Parts: sequence; structure tokens; C-alpha cells
Amino acid sequence: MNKVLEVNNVYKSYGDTTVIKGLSLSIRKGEIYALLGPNGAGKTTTLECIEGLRDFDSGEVRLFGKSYLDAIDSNKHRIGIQLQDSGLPDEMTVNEAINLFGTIKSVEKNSSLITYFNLDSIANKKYRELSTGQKRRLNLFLATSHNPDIVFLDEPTAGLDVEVRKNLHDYIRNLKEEGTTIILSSHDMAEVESLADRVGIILDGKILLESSPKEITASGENLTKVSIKLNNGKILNYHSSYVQRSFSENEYMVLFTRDTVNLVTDLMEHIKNRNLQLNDFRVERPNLEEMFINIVKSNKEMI
Amino acid sequence: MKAFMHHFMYDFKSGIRNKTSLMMTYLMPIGFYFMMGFFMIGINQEFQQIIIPAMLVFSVMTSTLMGLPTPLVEAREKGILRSFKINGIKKTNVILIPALTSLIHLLIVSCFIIITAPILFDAPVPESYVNLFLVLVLGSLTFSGISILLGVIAKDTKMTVLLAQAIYLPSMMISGLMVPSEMMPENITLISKILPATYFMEALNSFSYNLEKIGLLSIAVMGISVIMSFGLSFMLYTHDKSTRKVSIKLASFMALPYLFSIIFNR
Repeated sequence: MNKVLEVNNVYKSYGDTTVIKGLSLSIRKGEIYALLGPNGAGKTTTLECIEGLRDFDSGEVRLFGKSYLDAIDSNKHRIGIQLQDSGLPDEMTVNEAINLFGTIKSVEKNSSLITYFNLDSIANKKYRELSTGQKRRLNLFLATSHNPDIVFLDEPTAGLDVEVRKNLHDYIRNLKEEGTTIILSSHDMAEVESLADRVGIILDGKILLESSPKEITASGENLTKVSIKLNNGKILNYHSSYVQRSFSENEYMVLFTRDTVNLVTDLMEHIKNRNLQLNDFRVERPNLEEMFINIVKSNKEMI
Repeated sequence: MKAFMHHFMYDFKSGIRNKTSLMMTYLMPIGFYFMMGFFMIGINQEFQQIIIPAMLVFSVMTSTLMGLPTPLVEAREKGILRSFKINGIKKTNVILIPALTSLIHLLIVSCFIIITAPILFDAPVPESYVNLFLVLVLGSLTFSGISILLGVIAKDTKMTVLLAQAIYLPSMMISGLMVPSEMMPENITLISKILPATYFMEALNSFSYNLEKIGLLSIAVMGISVIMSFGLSFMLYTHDKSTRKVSIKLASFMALPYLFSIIFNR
């Protein structure tokens, strides 16, 4: 597949602090690539360097096969950016924003997309009167209304309710189906797991791991999580060779096992023999969030 | 060009809708003009002779120094300039459009003052309306350039107000707006040469009323000031508060044409 974006050995410092330390990644045409990382890992700085919002000290960024500065200047219409931390003038109405940025990007007013984002109903509302969800919808519209080849989305659904999130997820999937390359930064692991083709985990200014969400989930210890809560509010006291790790949290005893069937059988017997009453019992397969926490935790210890 | 015009029209319309902008551009200059016309002329008859140039300079200063830098700083602080950048708005637009819309608003206010002052306050009619218009445009651009530069270099809105007031208040006192320059002590007149308003006032008097003889120097100083202020604004402009360059030292070069003029005058 064609590489749309290549980042090679990029360094960026703020004063004495180096935030990005030789970061490299490449994004293929038409894929959804998610950048994951704890706060301060260099995720936003990386995105902003790629987007041209911030200069980097050394390294190379190539966009559409061209050197980054040439590409940013000559291919603005091929790039769409939605920032988490941005705004529009308070007094600007939705309609004025659509018209102004549409004229600047030389695109015709896309009525069907305006309707899709439900912007026609708030066309005369001023930016300061919009809710978080409405602002997010408007910003996503502005980032994509000119049919860009590559779209950068920074926390696109943060602070939104379930229905709006679902609609935006559908829209992002539609963009991908149309061949748009999407680079996504999100703290929402479920979102990343459901949308991304590939995930890059950033830690300490470098890409630590790059793979598909499924591969990352399968690559770990592959432990199943079993959570038990008793009726009397006490924490269950249980030890077994089937348990690889355990801890207590909010009245729950949380157990991790590789042998789910035997653990659950043994656990039920243990509870029955002691006449304990169950309040809640959950068995969960490992997800991206747990794997991410494990990966970050173990690598932070190494650092 | 179409995008530039569209942005210009939006900025012009939003200037009329915005209460603060309306206050600084229209209400305050016109209100002050009436106050000065009705009261100051009663106290000081000499003021009648300079009411038109003095109120034009006042309108320009209020509209630009009080009206232009703060919205720019706020736009940077709120991430609006980042949004502009990612959506394709060039820094040329961000710097030039507010200056141009401000110029249009100022021309409207100026027309009102120029037309009504001779009728209401028996003010002398300008000898050359063309010269008056040209000097007014140059003076507006001089103050717009300085105001935009203040917005570009100021760290936050508090600093913006402080810097703007540091030019605005002394200009009101000693640049010949309230009291004609020739009535002020010599050392104060010399100090006033560091203020752009002094040159604006001199140029208006010289070219529109033939009252002063050093008009060309004033035009030259203001012309250089326009080039330097917009040049420095382009050079030091950043869309992001976190990438804002420490630029006070470089911006202080703006004082050079005025300092040279003092040396030249001595």
C-alpha cells in the first residue's frame, strides 16, 4: 500500500526537555491509524509537528511523498485537521463559519453534509452559544467538507453523548470507506479498538509498539479478568494456583487467570462451601485498554 | 482575492455587531467629540481651530489602540488563530484585515466629524480635503500597525492594555490634541516627538490647514512606522500562545523612526 505519511527520526525539545526522541512512523493510504499514549508522552506534540502547527528540531516528515513544508503549503486542500483545543470567534455563526472557510478552501456548500452533521438546524447560532457536541460537529465538518485525502482527528468524540459519538464513529468509518486516510488521537480505548486499523503506542517520545488492536490485545499475557463482589460488602479472600494476579478494588476482588473454566468452577465451589452470597460476578476478556495499561506500566518501570 | 474579500466583509460586519468594537470605534470617539465641542471650546477658544484634527487623531487612537490588540491576543489565547491556520486562513489576512476594516470604520466616523464640526462648533473648514483624506489614511495605518504589533507581542490581555495605555495616555496629554504644541514647554514638545500622535497631528495641520511647516518629516516618519510595524508584525506573528516568540526587544525597534526624528529636529 502507498505510504501517505512518513515520519522519520523526529526530535523536538522545549528548552532542556526533549519531548519527542527520534519518533518514526508511517501511515498507509486509506487506513485509520490511532495514536495512543499517556498524558505527556508526546502524542499532541507529534500530531502538531505533523500538522505543521509546530516546528520540530530534526528528523524528516514526508507527506504525499513530498518534504513536509512543501506538502503543507501546496496540499492544504488535501489535508483536514480537527483539533481538540481550538475555537472560532464567539460572534461567528455556524453559517458564517461554513461560508468563510468554504470560500477559503474553494469548496461549494455541501448541503447533504451540513444536514448529516445537523448543522442546518443551528445555522444562525453563534459559536459561543453552541454546546460541546455542536462545536465538535462543526469542527469535524470544517475538517472534512473539502474531501481531504488525509484527516487528523484529535479526540474527536471527547465529551459527547453516546448517540452523537455513534454517529461520528459511523462518519469516520464512511470517510475510510471513501479512501480517506485518518490519523486519530484518542483516550477512548473502546473507540480506538472499534475504529483503528493500526495503533501506535507512544511513550517517552517514541513509538513503543505499532500494530493492529487485535494483535496488541492477543500479544499480551492473554489473561481473563474475573471480578467478584459479595453481598456483605467484604472483600472475598481467595487464593488458587489458577490465579496469575489479583487485587481488590471498590469492594471487588479482581482476579486474572489463563484458565477461566477451572478458576470459575473452583471459585463457585469456594463460595458455596462458605455460604457466601454473590452480589456481582463478571468475566471479561482482555481489551485494548488493559493491554495498553500493562504495556505502559511495564515500560515505565524499565524507563 | 475572493477569500480575502469574504473574510474582510465578515470582519467588517462582525465589527458592527460587536459591542466593544462599536463602543471603541463609534460611540466613544463621537461622544468625546461632542463633549469637547460643547465644553472645551467654552474654556479654551484656541481649541476651536484644532477640533477637527484633534478629534480625528483621537478617533484613530481610540479605535486602533483600544480596539485592535486585545481581540488579537484573545484570539490567540482561545485557539482561534490555530483554527484559522488549520482552515487555511493566512497570517496576511489576520494582520491586514482588522487594519483595513478599522480604516473603513474610521473614515465613516471622520466624515461625521469633518461635516458636523464646522456647523456645530464653527470649526475652520480644511483647505484640502484630498490631503486630509490621505493623511487620515496614513495616520490610521500608522496606529493600526502599532496596535497590531502590540497584539502580536503582548503575552496576555493585561499586558496588551498596559502597552496600549502607555502610548494612548501620553498622546492625549502632550501630542497637541488638547493643547496646541506651540503652547507647551519646549522640553515637553521634544518628548512628545516620541509619540506617533504628534506626527499625525502635525501632518493634519500642515497638509489640511497649512498651520505647520514640518509636514513632510511627519509623513516620512509615519510612512516608515507603517512599514516597520506591519513588517515586524508579520515577522513575529504566531498562531499559538505556546509558540509565541519572545519579541519585545525586536519590537522595540519601532521606536527608531521617532528617535531619529527627535535627533533630526534638535
